[in-house]
Amino acid sequence: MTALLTVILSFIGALLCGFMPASAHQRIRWVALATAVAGFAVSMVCYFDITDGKFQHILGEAENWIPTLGISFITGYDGISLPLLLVTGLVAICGVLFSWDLDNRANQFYAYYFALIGGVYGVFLSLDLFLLFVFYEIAVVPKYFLIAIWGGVRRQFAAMKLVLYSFGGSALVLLGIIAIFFLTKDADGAIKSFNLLELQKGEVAAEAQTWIFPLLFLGFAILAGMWPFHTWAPTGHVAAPTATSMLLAGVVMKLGAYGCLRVAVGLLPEGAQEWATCIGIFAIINIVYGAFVALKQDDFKFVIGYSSVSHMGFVLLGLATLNEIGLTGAVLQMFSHGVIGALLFAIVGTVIYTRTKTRMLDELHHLIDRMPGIAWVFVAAALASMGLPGFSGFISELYVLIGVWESLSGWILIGAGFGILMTFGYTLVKIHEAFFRERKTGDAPKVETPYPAMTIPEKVGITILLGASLLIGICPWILTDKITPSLELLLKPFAN
Amino acid sequence: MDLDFQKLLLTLLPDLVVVVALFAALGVDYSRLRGAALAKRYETAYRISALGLFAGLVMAVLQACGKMCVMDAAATAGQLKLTTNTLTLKTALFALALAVLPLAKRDLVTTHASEYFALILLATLGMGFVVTSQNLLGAFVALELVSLSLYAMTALNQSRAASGEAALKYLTFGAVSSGFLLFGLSYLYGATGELNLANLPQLESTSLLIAAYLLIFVGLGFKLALAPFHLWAPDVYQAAPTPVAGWIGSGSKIAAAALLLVLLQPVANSPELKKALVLALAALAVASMLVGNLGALRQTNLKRLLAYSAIANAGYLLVGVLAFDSPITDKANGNQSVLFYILVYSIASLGAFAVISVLADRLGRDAEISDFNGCWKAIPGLSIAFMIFLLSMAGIPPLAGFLGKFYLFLAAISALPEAASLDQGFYWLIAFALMMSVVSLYYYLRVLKAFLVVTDEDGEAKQVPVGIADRISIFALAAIIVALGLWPEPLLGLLQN
Amino acid sequence: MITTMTLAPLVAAILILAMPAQRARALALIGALVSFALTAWMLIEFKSSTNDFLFRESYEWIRDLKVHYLVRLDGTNALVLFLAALLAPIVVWISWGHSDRPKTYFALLSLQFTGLFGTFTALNFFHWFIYWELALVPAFFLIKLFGKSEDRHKAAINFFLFTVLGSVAMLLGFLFLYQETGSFSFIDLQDKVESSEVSSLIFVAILAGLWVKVPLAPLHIWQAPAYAAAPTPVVILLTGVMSKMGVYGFLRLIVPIFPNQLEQHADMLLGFALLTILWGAFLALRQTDLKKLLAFSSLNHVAYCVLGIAALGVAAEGLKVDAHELAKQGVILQMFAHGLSAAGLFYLVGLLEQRTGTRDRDTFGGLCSVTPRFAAVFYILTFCSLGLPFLAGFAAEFLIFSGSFAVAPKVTAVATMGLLATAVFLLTMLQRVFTGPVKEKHQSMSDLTRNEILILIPILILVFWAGIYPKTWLAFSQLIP
Repeated sequence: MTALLTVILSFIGALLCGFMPASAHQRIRWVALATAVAGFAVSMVCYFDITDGKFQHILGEAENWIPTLGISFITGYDGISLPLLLVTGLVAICGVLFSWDLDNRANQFYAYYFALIGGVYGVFLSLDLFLLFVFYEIAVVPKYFLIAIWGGVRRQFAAMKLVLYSFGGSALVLLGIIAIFFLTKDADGAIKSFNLLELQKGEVAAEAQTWIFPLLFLGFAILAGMWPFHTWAPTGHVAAPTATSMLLAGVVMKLGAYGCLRVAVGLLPEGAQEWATCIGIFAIINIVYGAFVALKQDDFKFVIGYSSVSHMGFVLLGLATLNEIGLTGAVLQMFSHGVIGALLFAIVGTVIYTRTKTRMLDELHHLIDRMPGIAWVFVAAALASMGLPGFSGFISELYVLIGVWESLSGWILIGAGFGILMTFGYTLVKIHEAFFRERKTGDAPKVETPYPAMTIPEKVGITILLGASLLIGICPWILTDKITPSLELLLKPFAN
Repeated sequence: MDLDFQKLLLTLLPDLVVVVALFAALGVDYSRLRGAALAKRYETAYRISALGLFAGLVMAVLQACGKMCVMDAAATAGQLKLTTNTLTLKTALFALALAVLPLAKRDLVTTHASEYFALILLATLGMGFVVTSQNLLGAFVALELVSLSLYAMTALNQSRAASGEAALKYLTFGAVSSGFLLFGLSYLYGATGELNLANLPQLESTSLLIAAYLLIFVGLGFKLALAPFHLWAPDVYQAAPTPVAGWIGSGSKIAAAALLLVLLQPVANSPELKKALVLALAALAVASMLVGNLGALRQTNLKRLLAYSAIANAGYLLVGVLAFDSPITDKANGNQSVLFYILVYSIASLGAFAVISVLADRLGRDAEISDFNGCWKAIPGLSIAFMIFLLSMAGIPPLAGFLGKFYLFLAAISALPEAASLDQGFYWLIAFALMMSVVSLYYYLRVLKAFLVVTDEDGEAKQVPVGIADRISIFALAAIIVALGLWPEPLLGLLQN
Repeated sequence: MITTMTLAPLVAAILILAMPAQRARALALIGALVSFALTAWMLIEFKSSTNDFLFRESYEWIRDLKVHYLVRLDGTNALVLFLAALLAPIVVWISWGHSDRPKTYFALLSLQFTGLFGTFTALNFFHWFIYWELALVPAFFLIKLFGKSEDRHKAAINFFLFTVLGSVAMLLGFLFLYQETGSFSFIDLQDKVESSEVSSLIFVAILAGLWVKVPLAPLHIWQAPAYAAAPTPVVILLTGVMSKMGVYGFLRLIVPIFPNQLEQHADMLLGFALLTILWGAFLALRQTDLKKLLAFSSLNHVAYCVLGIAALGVAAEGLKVDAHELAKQGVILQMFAHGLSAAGLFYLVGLLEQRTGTRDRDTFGGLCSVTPRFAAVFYILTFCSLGLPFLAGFAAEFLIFSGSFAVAPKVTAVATMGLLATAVFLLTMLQRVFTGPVKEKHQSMSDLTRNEILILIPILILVFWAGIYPKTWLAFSQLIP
């Protein structure tokens, strides 16, 4: 029950906020903050309750929901879902903090916001494919409204694109799930259940895995921003209001990756093995392509958007390794990018934008003098993002790369190395353009008044996210101790 | 023929009550209220028919629960099939009609007050008989009763010239389709010499039978608005009084779908015939999904858009019909899935029309999508309800429409459970259906954008008073959609045949 | 103890950020002095102890990856660590008057100290790499933000990207080793790598990281612009300590872990070392910008270290002298000597630039008579660099050459030609700047102040000490197995 509280509390929070009058935005934000903190607190309880690799706190039993269709309402979590629960909690809190001054239709904003978060928690907790899919979709629709109503330029287009991509992905997923339902067989014939625990007992014939796996994987990977289906991500991230882009980058993209791991890899081991190299190649394209495009962007948010695509490439790469250390890296990278991606979006979308009123890099220059504190915080975040040792990004990439050495070819590794270099390159170039570049001599001199300093909610949010990244970067065992035993169980079929 | 008339009376009591109410409404209107204000006449007719329908509903529920008149085929000499399954459908139809009545009351589109309500009741009665009938001829006659009432009602919108035109179009198309249906039924009769479906012998795969079924598909295809027999739908949906459009889009669909399933049952035992028919059904499904979804993309009028969405949804429905012969014990049962889906779809569709009726007609607008800009501010409750209806139609969980669609797909796969690759079984069809549902999300969201996203300058002008009965019926429909999505098991249980 | 010493500047950096700006320099100095004091004390203790690993800390860190936190003081790192710890407070002291964004400046400096100390003490790839990168980032920003020349942004990013290119190659190489041996520990790797087959590609990948850092031709092109752009204190760190990171990396990683591969590729390494020596000298000959001239001279001098290291890879059986031992000790002493002399020279050039506003060799002349003390120190350090007897550079280069001559006489012979070229450009520099007629505008140039002398004194002392009695210092490097 404990774990499910995250979902319940979020939905209650959504309703509460939704029913409060729009004029009471000062009260609404406190309700929102309380909801988010409560969700995180529950995840922390989950963290301390986990004892081994198995699913914890299993709630519900087989076929208790819609027995006619073999559907159960069964939830629980293991070491793989745990880091994602935590990152959802963190990002949710910080999302509220960075939307602290939002007053336009605040009640609706937080209603959609927490509906989305509830859905996300639900996905991470579902132990039934149908239930997982339901929550997965619940997380789709609020995104549309969050972007279409509160977004920036081209918000309608971006919102529609994002939702259609997500929905297209889920269509593939649904097809895959239905195929699994019919084709998973044990000694007594077809299992005909959506229950993950039941499904793990049977297996799908190898030939069928060959075609179901790419369906499922691609379906989920669209949401994870896999090239060439990543284009929703940058446009969506850019148009979205800050809290939403934080959620999108921090959490929603992880939904896809989680699905890839839990459902596609978890249930279709042979299919996964067959397609691993292919995924590896796509992952490399993701990393390099994302980095390259980021280098070319003028809009600061687009830079971060493409860097998200690039970083998700590491998650996919980790998934492609199909070994314990690589997958641990993938999960760690999900956490890491969740925290850092959210942080970068928060700084660019709110902290900088509210002060400069522009995100175009050619209009920003030499901000280091006018907002030194913010500039250095961003530099720290960007360093974390490019995988500087000591931050979580490094440790997760390290795990992934070790995993790649173990099971994929050296060429892929060289590709990844090139991607890392590109990452360093564009990060530095963009930091330079935004913060250190001198104004062109031809421009008329402006009065260089310093911008206002960071507000308290901003400081708190930044501290939380950056702190989390540092903490995991230096003490990764906080998470890996929980992740690895669960992955061991997940990988059991691969041993045969 | 020996009929126990007491039993027969009890069996038909729900319908009789409705008939009595129908005449009462007409009688009171013609005698006491002659010359009274139109609103008053509407109110009275509404009250009488609502009361009658409610009484009928209660009795139908009692029947369905087995509290009144055992389900006994003998009572009607095998002409009616009264099982939990069919009675549930009938109950649902009565309940939906009850939700239509308050909507019909508020617009005063025609001076024929009592006739309006009488026609609604008549159509409802007809639908009730279609879903319970076991006799080819009986079913046909009942279906004609439904159709004729609907033709007449379509023409009732006196404020719009297009109304009459649409009614004429509906009538001509409908009459032709009835002809096809009758042809098909008579071929079936000719081939088997049996009118009672329960007694049909095993069917051989003859060209006569194939022709018979193809003609039946054409006939019912018109009623269900399947492509390529859909041409009447957009005009009728747009021009008919909104509550009538809602009733066409929901009640008559339930009746036609149920009839289609009943007519297909005898085919289950002859594999060759089945093979030929399944192909035709799949083709119809693909065509409908394609025409409906692509057609809807271009619409700017909400009612027309819903008409195209109805076409598309009929296509999804056929995906489940493909599995009409799956064994009852199986975890995914075709008939159950079709009935569940059509019920859920009807509720959502009726709900959507109800919202349109409350908003657009009262404002004297033509229900262009942009007319609904900024509704979230003026009427947040209804906007949320509308979102629920539309998202249910689009198939977004946790709403019932998603579960319905999901079940249809499961059923279609279970029709050929041995299929293990994309080109076997109906995986390709489902892939297509899913692709189309992605397309559909685009136009649904476009509508929702108007309702929930856009801020309109004259938002205050949209502050329309919404009657308590309207509110209740709309929110009840929305609540049912949510409830069925979260907890469908009871309804699924009732629909197990 | 080592950890405290390493992290003291980091703590100082955090305090600097938290405290008002006027405290920044004091905090940085305290941090650096704490580190220096601890290092000096450790060296004294270490020297008088018989325990080879008197100072050693080891904790389990990341169980999954079998990462142990392992730091220790041993023969390989004692001298460079001392050099780094010595230069740290000097650098802070030199920057005492720095007024532009002092919080940022001193925090970055302190961070960099931590990175340097950490790199020299870490014995596990995992945290070694953290420090390795940590040393890089502040340097990047120091050049970028506080550099003086126009092209500082470009210089900084070139510097960064070149180094990162090497780092990434090295990272991938080590990941391969980890995958083969299951360990990141430098100590474990010594035993494990030998037995397993490691492809040349891996060796080259790891080499690449060090190659850039040293730097060796042709990957040196980042060096001169970066040195020229950086503010003086940062150049001192760059040349005095950071270039030693590369050489130290050779000693710590290449020599013990890849003896076989080193042997296979010794010729190549000799060749490139030679190329760098000659190329550096050649570039320096044509250079008139004093800072760039010294940068190329640095390039040239550090390459001697690599020459010595390459000599370790050439078989030395049947020789009367222990050529390898000589070369190794020479390398370590050369790091120390070059660190001191180059730091001092760059400081002096910085002073010159500060006073005259230029650093073009040919604009000066006759400064001997105007600023005798300045000239004296400059001469001493230049001669040290040249390898004049009784100065540190002589002892070091002598050791290197005698070691390498024994195993690779031809290459060494050519390399000594490089030494000749070095003499040419350094002496030309002295001649142009300090002799001849005094230019009008430099008549009033002030001599070294007391403060500046104070800074230079420890450097001078050590330069003489290591030249006259190198045994004190060689005692450490003799501990290397």
